[in-house]
Amino acid sequence: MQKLHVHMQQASEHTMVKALLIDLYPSMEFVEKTKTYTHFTIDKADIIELPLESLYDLLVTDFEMRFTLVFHTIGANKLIGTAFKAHLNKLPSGTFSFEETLFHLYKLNPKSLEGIKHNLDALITQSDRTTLLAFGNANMKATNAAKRLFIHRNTMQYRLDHIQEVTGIDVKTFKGLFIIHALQTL
Amino acid sequence: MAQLTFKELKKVYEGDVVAVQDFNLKVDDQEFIVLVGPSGCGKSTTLRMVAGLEDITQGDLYIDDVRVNDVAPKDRDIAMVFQSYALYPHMTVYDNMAFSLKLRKKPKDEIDERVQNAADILGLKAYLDRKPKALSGGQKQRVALGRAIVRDANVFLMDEPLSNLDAKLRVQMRAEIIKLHKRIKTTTVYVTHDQIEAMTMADRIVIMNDGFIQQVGVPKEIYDYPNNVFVGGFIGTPAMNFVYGKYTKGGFFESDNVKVKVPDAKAKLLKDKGYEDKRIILGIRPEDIHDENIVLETYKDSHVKLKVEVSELLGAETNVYAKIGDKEIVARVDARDDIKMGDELELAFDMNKVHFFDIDSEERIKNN
Ligand SMILES: Nc1ncnc2c1ncn2[C@@H]1O[C@H](COP(=O)(O)OP(=O)(O)O)[C@@H](O)[C@H]1O
Ligand SMILES: [Mg+2]
Repeated sequence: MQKLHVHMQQASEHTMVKALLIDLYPSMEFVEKTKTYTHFTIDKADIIELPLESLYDLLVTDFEMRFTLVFHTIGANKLIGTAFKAHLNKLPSGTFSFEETLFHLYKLNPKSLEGIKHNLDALITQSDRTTLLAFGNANMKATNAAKRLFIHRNTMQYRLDHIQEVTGIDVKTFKGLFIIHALQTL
Repeated sequence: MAQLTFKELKKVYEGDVVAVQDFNLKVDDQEFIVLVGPSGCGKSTTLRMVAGLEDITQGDLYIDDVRVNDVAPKDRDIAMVFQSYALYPHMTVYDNMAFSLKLRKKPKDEIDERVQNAADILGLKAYLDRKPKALSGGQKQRVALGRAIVRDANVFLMDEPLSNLDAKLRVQMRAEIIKLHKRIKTTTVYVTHDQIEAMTMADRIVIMNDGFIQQVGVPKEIYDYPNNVFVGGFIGTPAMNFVYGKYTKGGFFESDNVKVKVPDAKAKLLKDKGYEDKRIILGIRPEDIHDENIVLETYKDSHVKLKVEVSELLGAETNVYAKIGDKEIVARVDARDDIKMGDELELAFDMNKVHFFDIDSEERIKNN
Protein backbone atom coordinates (compact mmCIF):
# COMPACT_ATOMS: atom_id res chain seq x y z
CA MET A 1 0.00 0.00 0.00
CA GLN A 2 1.36 3.40 -0.99
CA LYS A 3 1.94 5.78 1.87
CA LEU A 4 1.28 9.46 1.85
CA HIS A 5 3.26 11.82 4.05
CA VAL A 6 1.36 14.76 5.47
CA HIS A 7 2.95 17.74 7.17
CA MET A 8 0.50 19.79 9.09
CA GLN A 9 1.05 23.08 10.80
CA GLN A 10 -1.72 24.57 12.88
CA ALA A 11 -2.01 27.98 14.45
CA SER A 12 -1.94 26.76 18.02
CA GLU A 13 -1.61 23.63 20.05
CA HIS A 14 -4.54 21.33 19.66
CA THR A 15 -4.52 17.82 20.97
CA MET A 16 -8.06 17.50 19.62
CA VAL A 17 -6.73 17.86 16.07
CA LYS A 18 -4.41 14.93 16.60
CA ALA A 19 -7.11 12.88 18.27
CA LEU A 20 -9.40 13.54 15.32
CA LEU A 21 -6.76 12.49 12.81
CA ILE A 22 -6.13 9.22 14.61
CA ASP A 23 -9.84 8.42 14.48
CA LEU A 24 -10.13 9.58 10.91
CA TYR A 25 -7.25 7.59 9.41
CA PRO A 26 -6.97 4.00 10.60
CA SER A 27 -3.55 3.63 8.99
CA MET A 28 -2.11 6.76 10.52
CA GLU A 29 1.37 6.78 12.05
CA PHE A 30 3.08 9.77 13.56
CA VAL A 31 6.57 10.58 12.30
CA GLU A 32 6.95 13.69 14.40
CA LYS A 33 4.72 15.86 16.51
CA THR A 34 5.29 19.13 18.29
CA LYS A 35 2.86 21.68 19.65
CA THR A 36 2.05 23.23 16.31
CA TYR A 37 3.55 20.82 13.81
CA THR A 38 2.64 17.27 12.93
CA HIS A 39 4.18 14.94 10.39
CA PHE A 40 2.29 11.71 9.83
CA THR A 41 1.84 9.01 7.25
CA ILE A 42 -1.33 7.34 6.04
CA ASP A 43 -2.26 4.84 3.36
CA LYS A 44 -3.22 6.60 0.17
CA ALA A 45 -6.53 4.75 0.21
CA ASP A 46 -7.43 6.51 3.43
CA ILE A 47 -8.05 9.81 1.72
CA ILE A 48 -10.42 8.51 -0.95
CA GLU A 49 -13.47 9.27 1.16
CA LEU A 50 -12.18 12.57 2.47
CA PRO A 51 -9.64 14.29 0.22
CA LEU A 52 -7.13 16.49 2.02
CA GLU A 53 -8.65 19.64 0.49
CA SER A 54 -11.96 18.74 2.14
CA LEU A 55 -10.21 17.88 5.38
CA TYR A 56 -8.69 21.35 5.31
CA ASP A 57 -12.13 22.95 4.85
CA LEU A 58 -13.50 20.95 7.78
CA LEU A 59 -10.55 21.68 10.04
CA VAL A 60 -10.58 25.42 9.44
CA THR A 61 -14.31 25.75 9.92
CA ASP A 62 -14.52 23.47 12.97
CA PHE A 63 -11.33 24.41 14.79
CA GLU A 64 -11.49 27.96 13.47
CA MET A 65 -7.81 28.46 13.01
CA ARG A 66 -5.23 28.47 10.26
CA PHE A 67 -3.79 25.24 8.91
CA THR A 68 -1.11 24.49 6.38
CA LEU A 69 -1.16 20.98 4.95
CA VAL A 70 1.55 19.67 2.65
CA PHE A 71 1.41 16.15 1.27
CA HIS A 72 3.87 14.07 -0.70
CA THR A 73 4.88 10.51 -1.48
CA ILE A 74 7.68 8.70 0.30
CA GLY A 75 10.28 9.60 -2.32
CA ALA A 76 10.30 13.23 -1.25
CA ASN A 77 11.79 12.38 2.14
CA LYS A 78 15.28 12.01 0.73
CA LEU A 79 14.89 15.26 -1.17
CA ILE A 80 13.66 17.43 1.68
CA GLY A 81 15.82 16.08 4.48
CA THR A 82 14.83 16.75 8.06
CA ALA A 83 14.43 20.53 8.19
CA PHE A 84 11.24 20.69 6.19
CA LYS A 85 8.97 22.06 8.87
CA ALA A 86 10.83 25.39 8.81
CA HIS A 87 9.57 25.81 5.25
CA LEU A 88 5.94 25.38 6.26
CA ASN A 89 6.01 28.69 8.07
CA LYS A 90 6.39 30.44 4.75
CA LEU A 91 3.28 28.95 3.18
CA PRO A 92 -0.18 30.48 3.58
CA SER A 93 -3.07 28.65 5.15
CA GLY A 94 -4.18 25.96 2.68
CA THR A 95 -3.50 22.51 1.18
CA PHE A 96 -0.48 22.07 -1.05
CA SER A 97 0.88 19.20 -3.10
CA PHE A 98 4.63 18.72 -3.02
CA GLU A 99 5.02 20.34 -6.44
CA GLU A 100 2.93 23.33 -5.40
CA THR A 101 4.93 23.68 -2.20
CA LEU A 102 8.31 23.74 -3.93
CA PHE A 103 6.99 26.10 -6.59
CA HIS A 104 5.66 28.42 -3.93
CA LEU A 105 8.89 28.42 -1.93
CA TYR A 106 10.92 28.98 -5.08
CA LYS A 107 8.86 32.03 -5.94
CA LEU A 108 9.31 33.47 -2.47
CA ASN A 109 13.04 32.94 -2.36
CA PRO A 110 14.97 30.51 -4.59
CA LYS A 111 17.89 30.55 -2.16
CA SER A 112 15.76 28.89 0.50
CA LEU A 113 15.82 25.75 -1.66
CA GLU A 114 19.61 25.39 -1.78
CA GLY A 115 19.58 22.46 0.62
CA ILE A 116 16.96 20.72 -1.49
CA LYS A 117 18.95 21.42 -4.65
CA HIS A 118 21.97 19.83 -3.07
CA ASN A 119 19.99 16.69 -2.26
CA LEU A 120 18.45 16.61 -5.74
CA ASP A 121 21.87 16.70 -7.42
CA ALA A 122 22.81 13.57 -5.52
CA LEU A 123 19.52 11.80 -6.27
CA ILE A 124 19.19 12.10 -10.03
CA THR A 125 21.51 10.68 -12.64
CA GLN A 126 22.76 12.04 -15.94
CA SER A 127 20.26 9.83 -17.71
CA ASP A 128 17.42 11.31 -15.60
CA ARG A 129 18.54 14.76 -16.70
CA THR A 130 18.45 13.73 -20.34
CA THR A 131 14.95 12.34 -19.85
CA LEU A 132 13.75 15.54 -18.22
CA LEU A 133 15.26 17.75 -20.86
CA ALA A 134 13.71 15.72 -23.69
CA PHE A 135 10.33 15.73 -21.94
CA GLY A 136 10.48 19.50 -21.47
CA ASN A 137 11.63 20.13 -25.03
CA ALA A 138 8.76 17.98 -26.30
CA ASN A 139 6.35 20.26 -24.40
CA MET A 140 5.54 17.53 -21.88
CA LYS A 141 4.39 15.07 -24.54
CA ALA A 142 5.91 11.77 -23.49
CA THR A 143 5.37 10.15 -26.90
CA ASN A 144 7.27 12.90 -28.73
CA ALA A 145 10.02 12.90 -26.14
CA ALA A 146 10.40 9.12 -26.53
CA LYS A 147 10.75 9.48 -30.31
CA ARG A 148 13.54 11.99 -29.91
CA LEU A 149 15.43 9.67 -27.62
CA PHE A 150 14.73 6.64 -29.84
CA ILE A 151 13.12 4.75 -26.96
CA HIS A 152 9.71 3.17 -26.54
CA ARG A 153 6.90 5.32 -25.18
CA ASN A 154 6.50 2.96 -22.21
CA THR A 155 10.19 3.30 -21.41
CA MET A 156 9.76 7.07 -21.33
CA GLN A 157 6.78 6.72 -18.99
CA TYR A 158 8.76 4.37 -16.81
CA ARG A 159 11.65 6.82 -16.57
CA LEU A 160 9.36 9.71 -15.66
CA ASP A 161 7.69 7.60 -12.97
CA HIS A 162 11.11 6.54 -11.72
CA ILE A 163 12.09 10.19 -11.23
CA GLN A 164 8.97 10.71 -9.15
CA GLU A 165 9.76 7.64 -7.08
CA VAL A 166 13.25 8.92 -6.34
CA THR A 167 12.49 12.62 -5.77
CA GLY A 168 8.80 12.74 -4.88
CA ILE A 169 8.31 15.32 -7.64
CA ASP A 170 5.68 14.47 -10.22
CA VAL A 171 7.40 15.83 -13.30
CA LYS A 172 4.31 15.26 -15.42
CA THR A 173 2.75 18.27 -13.72
CA PHE A 174 3.72 21.71 -14.95
CA LYS A 175 4.87 22.86 -11.54
CA GLY A 176 6.83 19.65 -10.98
CA LEU A 177 8.69 19.89 -14.26
CA PHE A 178 9.31 23.59 -13.77
CA ILE A 179 10.73 23.19 -10.31
CA ILE A 180 12.99 20.26 -11.14
CA HIS A 181 14.55 22.30 -13.94
CA ALA A 182 14.74 25.39 -11.76
CA LEU A 183 16.46 23.48 -8.97
CA GLN A 184 19.06 22.10 -11.36
CA THR A 185 19.96 25.58 -12.56
CA LEU A 186 19.92 27.18 -9.11
CA MET B 1 -27.39 38.69 12.89
CA ALA B 2 -24.92 40.62 10.83
CA GLN B 3 -24.16 42.87 7.92
CA LEU B 4 -21.25 42.25 5.56
CA THR B 5 -19.35 45.02 3.82
CA PHE B 6 -16.76 44.49 1.11
CA LYS B 7 -14.61 47.46 0.18
CA GLU B 8 -12.34 47.21 -2.86
CA LEU B 9 -11.61 43.60 -2.02
CA LYS B 10 -8.87 41.97 -4.06
CA LYS B 11 -7.34 38.50 -4.16
CA VAL B 12 -4.15 37.66 -6.00
CA TYR B 13 -3.07 34.02 -5.90
CA GLU B 14 0.45 32.75 -6.21
CA GLY B 15 1.52 33.08 -9.84
CA ASP B 16 -0.09 36.53 -10.05
CA VAL B 17 -3.55 35.10 -10.75
CA VAL B 18 -5.95 37.92 -9.96
CA ALA B 19 -9.04 36.02 -8.88
CA VAL B 20 -11.17 38.88 -7.54
CA GLN B 21 -10.82 42.64 -7.80
CA ASP B 22 -12.71 45.90 -7.27
CA PHE B 23 -15.20 43.95 -5.18
CA ASN B 24 -17.59 46.39 -3.48
CA LEU B 25 -20.76 45.15 -1.86
CA LYS B 26 -22.94 45.58 1.17
CA VAL B 27 -24.95 42.56 2.29
CA ASP B 28 -27.80 43.55 4.57
CA ASP B 29 -28.70 41.85 7.79
CA GLN B 30 -30.96 38.84 7.08
CA GLU B 31 -30.41 39.14 3.36
CA PHE B 32 -30.05 36.10 1.09
CA ILE B 33 -27.57 37.17 -1.54
CA VAL B 34 -26.47 34.99 -4.43
CA LEU B 35 -23.11 35.27 -6.19
CA VAL B 36 -23.46 33.85 -9.66
CA GLY B 37 -21.14 33.61 -12.64
CA PRO B 38 -19.31 31.13 -14.84
CA SER B 39 -16.74 28.75 -13.43
CA GLY B 40 -13.49 30.50 -12.54
CA CYS B 41 -14.99 33.97 -12.12
CA GLY B 42 -13.96 34.25 -8.45
CA LYS B 43 -17.08 33.21 -6.52
CA SER B 44 -15.46 30.62 -4.26
CA THR B 45 -12.47 32.85 -3.68
CA THR B 46 -14.76 35.62 -2.46
CA LEU B 47 -16.57 33.28 -0.11
CA ARG B 48 -13.36 31.73 1.18
CA MET B 49 -11.96 35.16 2.00
CA VAL B 50 -15.04 35.83 4.11
CA ALA B 51 -14.65 32.51 5.92
CA GLY B 52 -10.96 33.08 6.57
CA LEU B 53 -9.99 30.11 4.41
CA GLU B 54 -7.99 32.42 2.13
CA ASP B 55 -6.05 35.56 2.97
CA ILE B 56 -7.30 38.87 1.62
CA THR B 57 -4.67 40.45 -0.62
CA GLN B 58 -6.04 43.99 -0.52
CA GLY B 59 -9.13 45.93 0.52
CA ASP B 60 -11.34 45.71 3.59
CA LEU B 61 -13.90 43.23 4.79
CA TYR B 62 -16.28 44.21 7.58
CA ILE B 63 -18.71 42.17 9.61
CA ASP B 64 -20.99 44.79 11.05
CA ASP B 65 -18.54 47.53 12.01
CA VAL B 66 -15.53 45.32 12.63
CA ARG B 67 -12.79 45.01 10.04
CA VAL B 68 -12.08 41.28 9.95
CA ASN B 69 -9.22 40.99 7.42
CA ASP B 70 -6.85 39.88 10.13
CA VAL B 71 -9.41 38.43 12.50
CA ALA B 72 -8.96 34.69 12.96
CA PRO B 73 -11.75 32.47 11.63
CA LYS B 74 -12.63 31.85 15.29
CA ASP B 75 -13.78 35.39 15.87
CA ARG B 76 -15.73 35.82 12.67
CA ASP B 77 -18.62 33.61 13.71
CA ILE B 78 -19.30 32.28 10.26
CA ALA B 79 -20.61 28.89 9.18
CA MET B 80 -19.87 27.53 5.73
CA VAL B 81 -21.32 24.76 3.58
CA PHE B 82 -18.98 23.39 0.93
CA GLN B 83 -19.62 22.15 -2.59
CA SER B 84 -18.02 18.82 -1.74
CA TYR B 85 -20.31 18.57 1.29
CA ALA B 86 -17.35 17.41 3.26
CA LEU B 87 -18.30 15.26 6.25
CA TYR B 88 -16.15 13.22 8.62
CA PRO B 89 -16.58 9.70 7.24
CA HIS B 90 -15.92 8.00 10.59
CA MET B 91 -18.55 9.95 12.54
CA THR B 92 -22.29 9.45 12.69
CA VAL B 93 -24.63 12.13 11.40
CA TYR B 94 -25.19 13.20 15.00
CA ASP B 95 -21.49 13.50 15.73
CA ASN B 96 -20.79 15.30 12.48
CA MET B 97 -23.28 17.95 13.52
CA ALA B 98 -22.22 18.03 17.17
CA PHE B 99 -18.47 18.14 16.56
CA SER B 100 -17.90 21.87 16.26
CA LEU B 101 -20.06 22.46 19.36
CA LYS B 102 -18.02 19.96 21.34
CA LEU B 103 -14.88 21.78 20.32
CA ARG B 104 -16.46 24.96 21.62
CA LYS B 105 -17.05 23.17 24.91
CA LYS B 106 -20.80 23.67 24.88
CA PRO B 107 -22.72 21.77 27.56
CA LYS B 108 -23.97 18.33 26.49
CA ASP B 109 -27.66 19.12 26.77
CA GLU B 110 -27.31 22.30 24.76
CA ILE B 111 -25.46 20.37 22.04
CA ASP B 112 -28.19 17.77 22.02
CA GLU B 113 -30.91 20.38 21.79
CA ARG B 114 -29.24 22.14 18.87
CA VAL B 115 -28.52 18.94 16.96
CA GLN B 116 -32.05 17.60 17.51
CA ASN B 117 -33.50 20.90 16.43
CA ALA B 118 -31.41 21.03 13.24
CA ALA B 119 -32.22 17.38 12.49
CA ASP B 120 -35.88 18.24 12.88
CA ILE B 121 -35.71 21.18 10.49
CA LEU B 122 -33.80 19.13 7.92
CA GLY B 123 -35.74 15.88 8.25
CA LEU B 124 -32.71 13.97 9.51
CA LYS B 125 -34.12 12.57 12.76
CA ALA B 126 -34.21 9.04 11.43
CA TYR B 127 -30.62 9.12 10.25
CA LEU B 128 -28.73 10.45 13.26
CA ASP B 129 -26.98 7.14 13.92
CA ARG B 130 -25.87 6.56 10.38
CA LYS B 131 -22.45 7.18 8.94
CA PRO B 132 -22.17 9.40 5.84
CA LYS B 133 -21.44 6.39 3.64
CA ALA B 134 -24.96 5.08 4.28
CA LEU B 135 -26.61 8.32 3.12
CA SER B 136 -27.79 9.50 -0.28
CA GLY B 137 -26.32 12.63 -1.85
CA GLY B 138 -29.28 14.72 -0.77
CA GLN B 139 -29.07 13.46 2.80
CA LYS B 140 -25.34 14.20 2.97
CA GLN B 141 -26.04 17.68 1.72
CA ARG B 142 -28.58 18.10 4.50
CA VAL B 143 -26.07 16.99 7.10
CA ALA B 144 -23.62 19.55 5.72
CA LEU B 145 -26.33 22.18 6.12
CA GLY B 146 -27.05 20.86 9.61
CA ARG B 147 -23.41 21.27 10.58
CA ALA B 148 -23.79 24.94 9.71
CA ILE B 149 -27.20 25.42 11.32
CA VAL B 150 -26.19 24.11 14.76
CA ARG B 151 -23.49 26.73 14.91
CA ASP B 152 -26.12 29.44 15.13
CA ALA B 153 -23.58 31.67 13.39
CA ASN B 154 -23.90 35.29 12.35
CA VAL B 155 -23.35 34.57 8.68
CA PHE B 156 -23.95 31.55 6.45
CA LEU B 157 -21.77 30.92 3.45
CA MET B 158 -22.80 28.29 0.93
CA ASP B 159 -20.56 27.32 -1.98
CA GLU B 160 -22.56 25.56 -4.69
CA PRO B 161 -24.19 23.30 -2.12
CA LEU B 162 -26.54 21.71 -4.66
CA SER B 163 -24.28 21.21 -7.64
CA ASN B 164 -23.63 17.54 -6.88
CA LEU B 165 -27.31 16.62 -6.69
CA ASP B 166 -29.54 15.41 -9.50
CA ALA B 167 -31.93 17.86 -11.10
CA LYS B 168 -35.05 16.87 -9.22
CA LEU B 169 -33.41 16.91 -5.82
CA ARG B 170 -31.80 20.22 -6.65
CA VAL B 171 -35.17 21.85 -7.20
CA GLN B 172 -36.48 20.39 -3.95
CA MET B 173 -33.43 21.44 -1.92
CA ARG B 174 -33.59 24.94 -3.41
CA ALA B 175 -37.02 25.34 -1.89
CA GLU B 176 -35.87 23.85 1.41
CA ILE B 177 -32.95 26.21 1.74
CA ILE B 178 -35.21 29.19 1.11
CA LYS B 179 -37.70 27.91 3.68
CA LEU B 180 -34.86 27.46 6.12
CA HIS B 181 -33.70 30.99 5.54
CA LYS B 182 -37.20 32.37 6.08
CA ARG B 183 -37.19 30.57 9.38
CA ILE B 184 -33.78 31.38 10.81
CA LYS B 185 -33.13 34.59 8.85
CA THR B 186 -29.34 34.35 9.06
CA THR B 187 -27.52 36.63 6.63
CA THR B 188 -26.50 34.30 3.79
CA VAL B 189 -24.10 34.48 0.88
CA TYR B 190 -24.89 31.69 -1.55
CA VAL B 191 -22.67 30.83 -4.50
CA THR B 192 -23.79 29.10 -7.68
CA HIS B 193 -22.94 28.96 -11.36
CA ASP B 194 -26.58 28.18 -12.11
CA GLN B 195 -28.51 31.29 -13.11
CA ILE B 196 -31.85 29.59 -12.43
CA GLU B 197 -30.82 28.98 -8.82
CA ALA B 198 -29.79 32.62 -8.60
CA MET B 199 -33.05 33.90 -10.07
CA THR B 200 -35.27 31.71 -7.91
CA MET B 201 -33.48 31.99 -4.58
CA ALA B 202 -31.92 35.43 -4.28
CA ASP B 203 -33.11 38.55 -2.54
CA ARG B 204 -30.39 40.18 -4.59
CA ILE B 205 -28.05 38.74 -7.19
CA VAL B 206 -24.40 39.62 -7.68
CA ILE B 207 -23.22 38.65 -11.15
CA MET B 208 -19.50 38.12 -11.54
CA ASN B 209 -17.25 37.56 -14.51
CA ASP B 210 -13.44 37.43 -14.69
CA GLY B 211 -13.08 38.49 -11.07
CA PHE B 212 -15.23 41.61 -11.44
CA ILE B 213 -18.77 42.30 -10.29
CA GLN B 214 -20.87 42.93 -13.39
CA GLN B 215 -24.13 43.89 -11.73
CA VAL B 216 -25.91 43.80 -8.39
CA GLY B 217 -29.68 43.87 -8.21
CA VAL B 218 -32.94 42.09 -7.48
CA PRO B 219 -33.61 39.25 -9.93
CA LYS B 220 -36.24 41.08 -11.96
CA GLU B 221 -34.11 44.17 -12.35
CA ILE B 222 -31.19 42.10 -13.56
CA TYR B 223 -33.39 40.26 -16.02
CA ASP B 224 -35.11 43.36 -17.35
CA TYR B 225 -32.21 45.80 -17.27
CA PRO B 226 -28.90 43.99 -17.76
CA ASN B 227 -25.94 46.34 -17.37
CA ASN B 228 -24.04 44.81 -20.24
CA VAL B 229 -23.89 42.12 -22.90
CA PHE B 230 -22.40 39.62 -20.45
CA VAL B 231 -25.26 39.91 -17.95
CA GLY B 232 -27.88 39.90 -20.72
CA GLY B 233 -26.40 36.73 -22.15
CA PHE B 234 -25.78 34.97 -18.84
CA ILE B 235 -29.20 35.37 -17.25
CA GLY B 236 -32.12 33.73 -19.05
CA THR B 237 -32.55 30.50 -21.02
CA PRO B 238 -32.44 30.40 -23.94
CA ALA B 239 -30.02 33.30 -23.80
CA MET B 240 -30.69 36.82 -25.02
CA ASN B 241 -30.09 37.27 -28.77
CA PHE B 242 -27.53 39.83 -29.85
CA VAL B 243 -27.56 41.39 -33.31
CA TYR B 244 -24.66 43.58 -34.42
CA GLY B 245 -25.69 46.44 -36.68
CA LYS B 246 -25.99 50.15 -37.12
CA TYR B 247 -28.36 52.80 -35.84
CA THR B 248 -29.31 54.94 -38.86
CA LYS B 249 -30.41 58.54 -39.01
CA GLY B 250 -33.87 57.49 -40.13
CA GLY B 251 -34.47 55.87 -36.74
CA PHE B 252 -33.87 52.28 -37.76
CA PHE B 253 -31.58 49.58 -36.51
CA GLU B 254 -30.07 47.95 -39.57
CA SER B 255 -27.99 44.90 -40.16
CA ASP B 256 -27.80 42.34 -42.98
CA ASN B 257 -31.37 41.06 -43.42
CA VAL B 258 -32.64 43.09 -40.46
CA LYS B 259 -34.26 46.50 -40.53
CA VAL B 260 -36.37 47.39 -37.53
CA LYS B 261 -37.83 50.70 -36.38
CA VAL B 262 -36.55 51.99 -33.05
CA PRO B 263 -39.34 53.44 -30.86
CA ASP B 264 -39.21 57.19 -30.19
CA ALA B 265 -37.89 57.18 -26.63
CA LYS B 266 -35.07 54.78 -27.48
CA ALA B 267 -34.35 56.66 -30.71
CA LYS B 268 -33.96 59.88 -28.76
CA LEU B 269 -31.61 58.20 -26.32
CA LEU B 270 -29.42 56.81 -29.10
CA LYS B 271 -29.36 60.18 -30.85
CA ASP B 272 -28.57 62.09 -27.65
CA LYS B 273 -25.74 59.72 -26.87
CA GLY B 274 -24.24 60.22 -30.30
CA TYR B 275 -24.94 56.80 -31.79
CA GLU B 276 -26.42 58.02 -35.09
CA ASP B 277 -24.77 56.16 -37.95
CA LYS B 278 -22.69 54.21 -35.45
CA ARG B 279 -22.43 50.48 -35.02
CA ILE B 280 -24.25 49.16 -31.93
CA ILE B 281 -25.51 45.85 -30.55
CA LEU B 282 -29.21 45.07 -30.27
CA GLY B 283 -30.22 42.63 -27.54
CA ILE B 284 -33.59 40.92 -27.51
CA ARG B 285 -34.87 38.08 -25.35
CA PRO B 286 -36.39 35.04 -27.11
CA GLU B 287 -39.81 35.73 -25.57
CA ASP B 288 -39.83 39.22 -27.05
CA ILE B 289 -39.85 37.87 -30.58
CA HIS B 290 -43.48 37.20 -31.55
CA ASP B 291 -45.42 35.22 -34.09
CA GLU B 292 -48.99 36.22 -33.15
CA ASN B 293 -50.85 38.06 -35.89
CA ILE B 294 -51.92 40.80 -33.56
CA VAL B 295 -48.35 41.59 -32.65
CA LEU B 296 -47.19 41.36 -36.24
CA GLU B 297 -49.79 43.94 -37.13
CA THR B 298 -48.94 46.25 -34.26
CA TYR B 299 -45.22 46.16 -35.00
CA LYS B 300 -45.29 46.45 -38.78
CA ASP B 301 -41.89 48.17 -38.80
CA SER B 302 -40.07 45.53 -36.86
CA HIS B 303 -40.57 42.31 -38.78
CA VAL B 304 -37.72 39.92 -39.39
CA LYS B 305 -37.50 36.93 -41.71
CA LEU B 306 -36.08 33.77 -40.23
CA LYS B 307 -35.08 30.41 -41.59
CA VAL B 308 -35.86 27.68 -39.07
CA GLU B 309 -33.12 25.25 -38.10
CA VAL B 310 -34.66 23.49 -35.11
CA SER B 311 -38.02 23.84 -33.44
CA GLU B 312 -38.44 22.52 -29.89
CA LEU B 313 -41.97 22.07 -28.61
CA LEU B 314 -41.65 22.29 -24.83
CA GLY B 315 -45.33 21.93 -23.96
CA ALA B 316 -46.57 25.40 -23.16
CA GLU B 317 -44.21 27.02 -25.61
CA THR B 318 -41.93 26.41 -28.54
CA ASN B 319 -38.30 27.45 -28.91
CA VAL B 320 -37.49 28.22 -32.51
CA TYR B 321 -33.78 28.16 -33.34
CA ALA B 322 -33.33 29.93 -36.62
CA LYS B 323 -31.06 32.05 -38.75
CA ILE B 324 -31.41 35.58 -39.97
CA GLY B 325 -28.94 35.56 -42.85
CA ASP B 326 -26.02 33.86 -41.13
CA LYS B 327 -26.92 35.02 -37.62
CA GLU B 328 -28.25 32.53 -35.09
CA ILE B 329 -31.38 33.60 -33.28
CA VAL B 330 -33.81 31.98 -30.85
CA ALA B 331 -37.46 32.90 -30.52
CA ARG B 332 -39.83 31.59 -27.88
CA VAL B 333 -43.37 31.49 -29.23
CA ASP B 334 -46.61 29.87 -28.10
CA ALA B 335 -46.80 26.13 -28.35
CA ARG B 336 -47.09 25.02 -31.93
CA ASP B 337 -46.01 21.89 -33.68
CA ASP B 338 -46.30 23.08 -37.26
CA ILE B 339 -42.83 24.59 -37.53
CA LYS B 340 -40.33 22.49 -39.45
CA MET B 341 -36.70 22.74 -40.33
CA GLY B 342 -36.17 24.95 -43.35
CA ASP B 343 -39.44 26.87 -42.87
CA GLU B 344 -39.31 30.60 -43.53
CA LEU B 345 -41.04 32.58 -40.81
CA GLU B 346 -41.86 36.22 -40.46
CA LEU B 347 -41.77 37.32 -36.83
CA ALA B 348 -41.84 40.66 -35.05
CA PHE B 349 -39.40 42.11 -32.53
CA ASP B 350 -41.11 43.80 -29.59
CA MET B 351 -38.98 46.89 -29.92
CA ASN B 352 -40.10 48.30 -26.59
CA LYS B 353 -38.30 45.40 -24.93
CA VAL B 354 -35.02 45.51 -26.82
CA HIS B 355 -31.80 46.86 -25.34
CA PHE B 356 -28.94 48.55 -27.13
CA PHE B 357 -25.33 48.10 -26.14
CA ASP B 358 -22.18 50.01 -27.02
CA ILE B 359 -20.15 47.91 -29.44
CA ASP B 360 -16.81 48.55 -27.72
CA SER B 361 -17.60 48.64 -24.01
CA GLU B 362 -20.60 46.27 -24.40
CA GLU B 363 -22.35 48.40 -21.75
CA ARG B 364 -26.08 48.98 -22.10
CA ILE B 365 -26.84 52.40 -23.53
CA LYS B 366 -29.06 54.08 -20.97
CA ASN B 367 -30.06 57.43 -19.51
CA ASN B 368 -27.66 58.46 -16.79
N1 LIG C 1 -5.42 28.10 -4.84
C1 LIG C 1 -5.37 28.75 -6.02
N2 LIG C 1 -4.19 29.09 -6.58
C2 LIG C 1 -4.13 29.76 -7.74
N3 LIG C 1 -5.21 30.14 -8.44
C3 LIG C 1 -6.43 29.82 -7.95
C4 LIG C 1 -6.57 29.12 -6.71
N4 LIG C 1 -7.91 28.94 -6.46
C5 LIG C 1 -8.54 29.52 -7.50
N5 LIG C 1 -7.66 30.05 -8.38
C6 LIG C 1 -7.98 30.79 -9.63
O1 LIG C 1 -8.74 31.92 -9.27
C7 LIG C 1 -9.79 32.13 -10.19
C8 LIG C 1 -11.13 32.12 -9.47
O2 LIG C 1 -11.37 30.82 -8.96
P1 LIG C 1 -12.64 30.47 -8.08
O3 LIG C 1 -12.82 31.51 -7.04
O4 LIG C 1 -12.49 29.07 -7.63
O5 LIG C 1 -13.81 30.60 -9.14
P2 LIG C 1 -15.32 30.05 -9.09
O6 LIG C 1 -15.63 29.60 -7.70
O7 LIG C 1 -16.13 31.21 -9.55
O8 LIG C 1 -15.37 28.93 -10.08
C9 LIG C 1 -9.63 31.06 -11.25
O9 LIG C 1 -8.89 31.61 -12.30
C10 LIG C 1 -8.87 29.98 -10.54
O10 LIG C 1 -8.11 29.23 -11.45
MG1 LIG D 1 -16.19 27.67 -7.06
